[in-house]
Formats: sequence, C-alpha cells, structure tokens
Amino acid sequence: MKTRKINTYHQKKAYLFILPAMAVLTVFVFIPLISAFVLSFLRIDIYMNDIGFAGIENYARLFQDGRIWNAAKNTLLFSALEIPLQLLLALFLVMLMLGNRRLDKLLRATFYLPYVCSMTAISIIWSMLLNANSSVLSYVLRRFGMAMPNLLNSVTGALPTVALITVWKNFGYTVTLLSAAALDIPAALYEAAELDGASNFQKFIYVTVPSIRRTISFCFVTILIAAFQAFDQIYVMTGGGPLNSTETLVTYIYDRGFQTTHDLGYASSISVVLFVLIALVTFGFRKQTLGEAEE
Amino acid sequence: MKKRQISLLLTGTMTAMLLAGCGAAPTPSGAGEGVGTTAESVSEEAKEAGSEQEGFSAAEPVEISFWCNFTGSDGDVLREIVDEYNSTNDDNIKVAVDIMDYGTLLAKLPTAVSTGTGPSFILAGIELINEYATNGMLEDISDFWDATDIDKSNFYDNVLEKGVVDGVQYGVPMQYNLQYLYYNKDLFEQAGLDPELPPATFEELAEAAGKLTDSSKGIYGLALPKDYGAYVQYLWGNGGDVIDINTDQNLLVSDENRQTLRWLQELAGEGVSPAGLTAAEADTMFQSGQVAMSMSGPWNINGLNALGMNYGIAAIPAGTAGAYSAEGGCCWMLTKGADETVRDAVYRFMAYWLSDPVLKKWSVTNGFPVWSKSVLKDSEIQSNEILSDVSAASTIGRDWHLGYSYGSQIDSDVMAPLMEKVLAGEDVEAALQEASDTLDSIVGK
Amino acid sequence: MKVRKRKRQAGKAAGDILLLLIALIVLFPILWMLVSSFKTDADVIRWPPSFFPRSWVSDQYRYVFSILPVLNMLKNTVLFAGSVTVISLLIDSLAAYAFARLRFKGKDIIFGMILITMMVPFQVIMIPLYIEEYKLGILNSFAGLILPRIASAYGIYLLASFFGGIPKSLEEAARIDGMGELGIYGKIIAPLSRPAFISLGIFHFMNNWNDLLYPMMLTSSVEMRTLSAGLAILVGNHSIKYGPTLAATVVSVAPLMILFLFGQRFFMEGIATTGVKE
Repeated sequence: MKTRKINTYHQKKAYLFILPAMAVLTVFVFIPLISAFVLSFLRIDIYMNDIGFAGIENYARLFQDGRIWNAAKNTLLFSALEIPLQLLLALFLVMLMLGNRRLDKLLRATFYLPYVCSMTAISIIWSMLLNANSSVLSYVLRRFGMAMPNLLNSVTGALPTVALITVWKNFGYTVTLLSAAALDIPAALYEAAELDGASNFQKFIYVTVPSIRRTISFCFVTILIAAFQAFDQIYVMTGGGPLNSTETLVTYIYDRGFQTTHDLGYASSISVVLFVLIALVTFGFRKQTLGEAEE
Repeated sequence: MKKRQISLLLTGTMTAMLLAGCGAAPTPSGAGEGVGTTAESVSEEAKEAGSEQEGFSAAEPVEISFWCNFTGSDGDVLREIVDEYNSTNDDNIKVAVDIMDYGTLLAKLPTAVSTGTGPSFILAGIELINEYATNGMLEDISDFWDATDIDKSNFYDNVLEKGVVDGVQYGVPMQYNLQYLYYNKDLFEQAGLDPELPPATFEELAEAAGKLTDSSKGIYGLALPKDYGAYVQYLWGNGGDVIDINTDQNLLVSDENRQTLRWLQELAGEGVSPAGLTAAEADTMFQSGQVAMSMSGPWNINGLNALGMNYGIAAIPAGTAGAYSAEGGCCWMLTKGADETVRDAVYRFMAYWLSDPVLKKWSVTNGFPVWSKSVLKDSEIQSNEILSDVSAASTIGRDWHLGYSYGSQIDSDVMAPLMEKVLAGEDVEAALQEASDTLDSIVGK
Repeated sequence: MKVRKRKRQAGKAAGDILLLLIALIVLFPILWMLVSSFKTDADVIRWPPSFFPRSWVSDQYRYVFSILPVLNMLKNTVLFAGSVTVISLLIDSLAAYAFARLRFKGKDIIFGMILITMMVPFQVIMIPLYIEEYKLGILNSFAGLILPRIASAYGIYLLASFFGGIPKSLEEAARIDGMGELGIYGKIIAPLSRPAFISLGIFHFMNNWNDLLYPMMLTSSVEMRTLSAGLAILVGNHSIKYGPTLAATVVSVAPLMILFLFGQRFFMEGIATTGVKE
C-alpha cells in the first residue's frame, strides 16, 4: 500500500470488530498457551505440590530423551504420509467425477459419510476390522489361504496404517471442496483445450488444477492442521505403540503429562518443541496460509 | 513497549493464577497442607458422628460421588449395588458414580482433586494408592474401623494391607484379585488332553500350548500378551524379579530372567500365541474360543459365564522356583479436602460395601475371591464351584511393584517394551540390558 | 480417432470401477458396524465370524440406553454444539471481516498469532485451561463448555479467506452511499458469504459434536456429559465390551448421519462453495 497512514477512525472500528474474538482467544487460548510455556521452566507435577523453578532443566532433559526425537520424527512422517495422500487421492477422484453425473453426486455423498463420524468411533471400528486374529477380514483372507498382516501391531506398518485410516475418514471432505471449485470452472476454458486436442488427463492437469489452486492450498492447510493434532486415532488404535512407532509429539505430551509420569513441567517443554515445529511449518508454508487472507 | 508490557503482565498473572490454584481448594484442608493435624481433628469428630448414628433417622440429604474406571461388565454390578444402596439407606445419602476410561481418570483426577473440584471419593486400583497418598490427594482414614464399628479381624490381613501406605490407612479394600490360568475344557478334549488336569508347571504349560495350537483352525494354545502384568509371574516362577521395592535394587539382569525370557521367546516363536496381543484382546480371544489357555484376572468370569463357556480355572503353573500369582485389587479412597459430613457419608457407604450381602454378591456375580471370613462361611459361597476353584488358586498371591511409586512407569517404560521385543524375537540380552538401563534411570541411579 | 475414443471409453469404465471400489471401501466398515450392533455378545466375538448376525437382536441398544442417560446426553450435545456453532459464526465472521477488509496497526502480527494457534492441539493447554475454568467457577457447566469454543482461529482463517475473495467494488459503492462498516458487513459481505457460513457452521457443529477429550476434561458429572464423551465409558482397558461398544458407536454417529442424509444437498452445497472462490 502506498499510503502508510491509517485512518484512526477506521482503526478503532477494526479493533471493535476483532475485540470479541480476541477476548475469547486471549482468555481461553493465549493465556493457557503462555502458561504452558511458563510451566516448562518449572519443576511441577500434576499434583502441584512442591512447585519449584527448574530453569532449563526440562529442556536439558529433552536432549537426552530419545523418545522426543522419535516422536518428532513420527509427527512429521505422519503428516508427510497423510497430507499428500489425501490431497492426491481427492484430486484424482475429482478428475474422475468431472462429468458431474448423478452417479458422481451420489458417490460424493458416500465419500463424505465417514467425515461425519467421530474419529474415536472410526478408530474403534477399524481396530476391530484390522484385528489379525479375529476380524471378518482376517477370516476371509484365511479362507483364501492368506494370513492377515497384523498391521496395527507392526513397527513399520502401524504408522502408515493409522495415516491411511485418517485419510479414509477425511478425504470425502477434500473431494467435496475440490469438486465444487472444479465444477465452477467456465466451460470455455475446457473447450479451448479440447480444440488443441488435449486428453482428459491433460485437461485436468493444465486447466483444472491451475484454476483451483487456491482451493488446493486451502485444503492443504486444513489437512495440515488436522495432521499435527492427530491424537484420537493413535490413542485408540495403537496407544503410541508398538515400541513407540506411532508415538507423536501430541501423544508423548499426553503420556508424560497425564498417563505415565504426571510430569507437567516436562510435558510442557515438549509442548514448546511442538509449538516451535508448528511455527516453523506455518512459516514454511506462509504462502499457503497467509497468502489467503490478503487478497 | 506496550506489547512487551502486556505479555509480561499476562505471564505474571497466569503464573500467579496457577500457583495459587494449587493450594486454594475451597475445602477445610488444602492440597498442600500437612496431613497430621487436620485429619486428626476431623477424625475425632467423625468418631462422634459415628457413635451418634443410631440417634437420627431423617438426616440432612448428603450427596457424595466417586469416580472409577469400571468399564467392563463388573461395572454393571457395581452400579446395581450403588443403586440399591441409594434406595435402601436410611441416612439420606445419595451416591453418584461417574465411570470413565482409565486414561481419562489418570489425567483428570489429580487436577480435579487439587482444585477441590474432584469427587468425594475414588474407587481405584491399588497401583495408584501409593502415588496418590504421597502426593497429598487422599485423606487419612485410619479411624474408619472405629468410626464404623466394623471388625477389622474379619478380613484377610494381606488384603487390608493394600490400603495402607507407610503405616497410614488410605484405602478400604473393595476387591482383591490374582491372576489365574483360564483354560478351555472343550479345546483340551479336542486336543486329547485331560480337561480336569490343567498344566501345573511351565513345562507342562509349554507342552499343552503346543498340542492345543491348531493353526489351520486359527486356534492358539496360550495367550502371551505383551502389555499386562503376566510377565512377572513367569519371572518369579523361575526365581527372577524386576526390582526390590524396598531397596530400589534393579534385579532385571539375572541368569534366571535370561532363561525365562529365552523360554518365552521360544514359545512365541513356535506360534502358540497370536503375535502382538494385548491383554484385552487375549481375554476376548479366550471368550471366542480362539485361545485355549490364558492368564488373566477374575474380571473375565462374569462374561464367560454369560457366554456359557465350558472353561476351568487353575492356579498359575510353577517354574523351577515355585508358583506365584500377581496380586491386584481396588480400594475405596477418600479424596483430600472431604469435610466431616462427606467423610461420614463415605464411611457409611464403605461400610455398606463391606457388609456380607454386598461382598457376597460381588464375589458370586463376578467371581472375585472372597476375603471376608464371615462371607467365606456362607453356604452358597462354599458350594460355588467357580469360587472354590478361584479360592484354591488364590493361595499363591505375591505383591509386586504395583503399589511402588515408580510402578506404573516401570510397567510402561521398562517392562512393556522389553516384553514386546522379546516376544517379537529380538535379541534377549540386548533388550534386557536396555530395559535395565531404563529402569536405572527411572529409579535415579 | 476411433481408437482414441474407444480408449477413452475404456478409461472411463476403469475410472468408474475404481470409484465404485472406493465407495465400497468407504461403506463396508460403516455397514459392518451397523449390522454388527444387532448381534448378541457371543455373536460379536464368534469365531469363525460372519458378516450378518445369526439372529437380529436389539440387546446391545437396550443395554446402552439402560446404563446411560442417552437422551440427556443428546440434549447436552445439541445445546453445546449448537450454541458454539451459532455464537462462533458471529464472532469469527466479525473478526474475519476486519482482517479481510479493514486496515489497522498490528494486523499482520495478530493474524499470524491466530494462525499459529490454529494448529496447537488441545492437550497442550488442557491443564491451564482446567485451572482457569476452575478459577472462573465455570467448570462442569455449559458456560465452561461453550465459552472457550465461541471463537475459533480456524473459523477466522476460513472466513477471512472467503471475504478476501469478494470483489471490493460492491462495498465501495455502498461506502459512497454512506453505509457504515457494520452495515457493509451485515448487508453485503455476510449475505454473499452464505455458503462459507454454512460450511463453517457444519464444521463447528460436527467437530464439537464428535469431540471427546475436551468435554471429558471439563465436565465431571454424568449429567453434563455429551454423547461421544459419555459413550466412551464403554471402551475400557481391562475388558472391552464389543457389543455395547458397537451399539454406542452407532448411537453417537447416527444423529449426524441422519442429519447429513436429510440435509445432504444443504451440506454439499454449503461446503461446495467454501471460501475459496477463484
């Protein structure tokens, strides 16, 4: 903007507009967040007796704790698996449904169904279905002479499985968003491409995808948020195991703070690590996140 | 800078708020205060209240609540008993029960108690009592027996001890349990084994497990879960152990343990157990007849009976050094900050629990071993086949690190990974060494 | 040309088969859950298993309804998720309007802060929030459940990006006519953003409906439990009761599913045009 001066009257109005939201966020998000930061410098457990100043003791411990690096790695790995998979699968399906036939509409509604369910419910159902010893699926496979792999109990297989189930639950939402944007594209654009003799796939890549770029990055951000917060599915299906192979920063925070050691100070220092990671990722993708609001 | 001031202010307020939050329970005795004086004076008054109790009938209505994690079928029976108490007691006491999953209970309870927003009392496993008592979450209830006029000697000492930490009583036992060997009699017969002769030694156990396993039908001989306390019984049986809870001495690395773990690994390698099993899955697979033998607690009995299963209960088999079964149990505990009205009402409810009809109902419907001498004399109890099997298998109980202050951490950070690795076929020596190092770091050596 | 056309048709058929296959993968677990919730206890864990019950029984539902005040929990959930949705749409959109349309000092910093908190998981602020609510005296109350959720970073982000896409010319004309900011927000921007509102509303409603840890932490009596938190008590760690768990799961997802099936068009259209007009 050329004029740096901002009208003070407008400014006051603007503050009034954001006031309710900022008040709520300050009280219920910022203050708890800051206090989590403060807690990370304290020697404090969940019983809150004998609270003392710990300095950087909790942070020093982080460096000796192999599990924290494992958890950070798993958090990133989970995101790296889940986000592209969900986005690409959704894009691919959108391509197949560009005709917008009755069948396509019906399918879109079907794909949306799991998204309506809670993650906990989905996780319970899938862990029953994936049970290698007693599920219907394992029985059917056994009838065909195959052994069902114990996916949720495999050190290498559990994390991808959890990521896949997350995709299963959420991809319908992405499909709906992307389809809508894709169906809004003026037919003229396609016609021009057709004249050039483009195949369906080419049309999709060169016409559709560029036109819905903003929706794609919006979906990306939405999936990213969900991936970093993933908890219910891990907690229910694997509890972070086997051998911590599905333990993410969020589940590790929960374990240290509330389940195994009740060490709030230490759990808070892990939270700070997670926060830094989030800030880095947000910064790294600032084009996708911040770019949106400023037109 | 304005911004800076604001953030400083926020930080300051929040910290102050937090620190103040801890001691400021809106109750007579705050969480951080010493136990001694407050508890004593309260207990005097409770005693008086106790002696007066015949006097009044239409008492002021008192509502007390407790939290627990009885999510299984035993929770139904528990609720029934509570309902019964609510509709029959003359003291105008209403007990509300809030059942939640164990994870939530662990996460919520300490904060709730330290802010005075928790329940009046708790029903929890004895693995929590030590930690909760030493962290000032529980009231001293040493005067319980005097206040309620219940004959303490009517109950087994080893069970009553579960509610005592450092000589102070914090819990009144609610149930007592051991692990048993459950075996499926139909599957025994099919495999040509004598259904009345369950394995009594580890060797027999391994042999039977091999014979019972029929992979073509998807039937496994023995459940070897990775997560629950079954491992310690194998270690004990051959003379090994995990830790000496009195001296914090790490006992993990020993020839006995090496031998036991190798044996377990071999057994798992033969495919007698489904891989990567959790204890809850093991229970379910035993119920569905896919697992022929399983070591587990009495909470299965109710469900097995309902399913009409043809099963037997035997004592945990013996190793080279004898047979041992890991003890467990639950206690009623009074949370910190209870005033005398609440204390009195909770005592009355606890007393109700200890009455013969309730304990009897609990044991008969759920198959938990009887630990009250008067209930034991009951003819219905004596003629109950399952309970007599249970009682016969209940003589080998051994206290383990459950009540130890690092108990749950040892379980989740040391033993669970060790068992997972051993059962998955990883190098025993390396896994044992690693577990031992982690154990050292936990107990601070 | 002909070859190409045939190839295209074959591709289409393959695409359709793939779509139907995915639909099957989506539907199978849901159908399995629905069907299995009508099995007896023994039937649920029976080996060898079968997809359909040997006999259809409603025992599991009767059990769930007998041990839990399902209707009361339903009422709580509707009240909680409903008020959060309505109030937060208002508050989020006001803030989003300022971020998208007005210029003020510190805008970028504040917006950046909001964006970062969007990704902070609840577990991180759980205990401080609990203590705060305790201090405010709103634990275990509807106020305590609703207040922290009536402004959401995600909502502000979503709406701000939608508002950003609305042409400025419309409001400039109104501004010349002397319309105030509130008027522009209420009469021009909000009506134009109906789809975004619907979409965000559905998002808030579903998320709060399905949330588990949050209502579990902040309520401490059965009377205050929401549906998904209340039903979680059936999933213990000692013994899982598979039959009731299935029935409870159906009960918790059924209302939203029914709502979705009836209001499907509304759902899809709303979400469809979310925000990000090109």
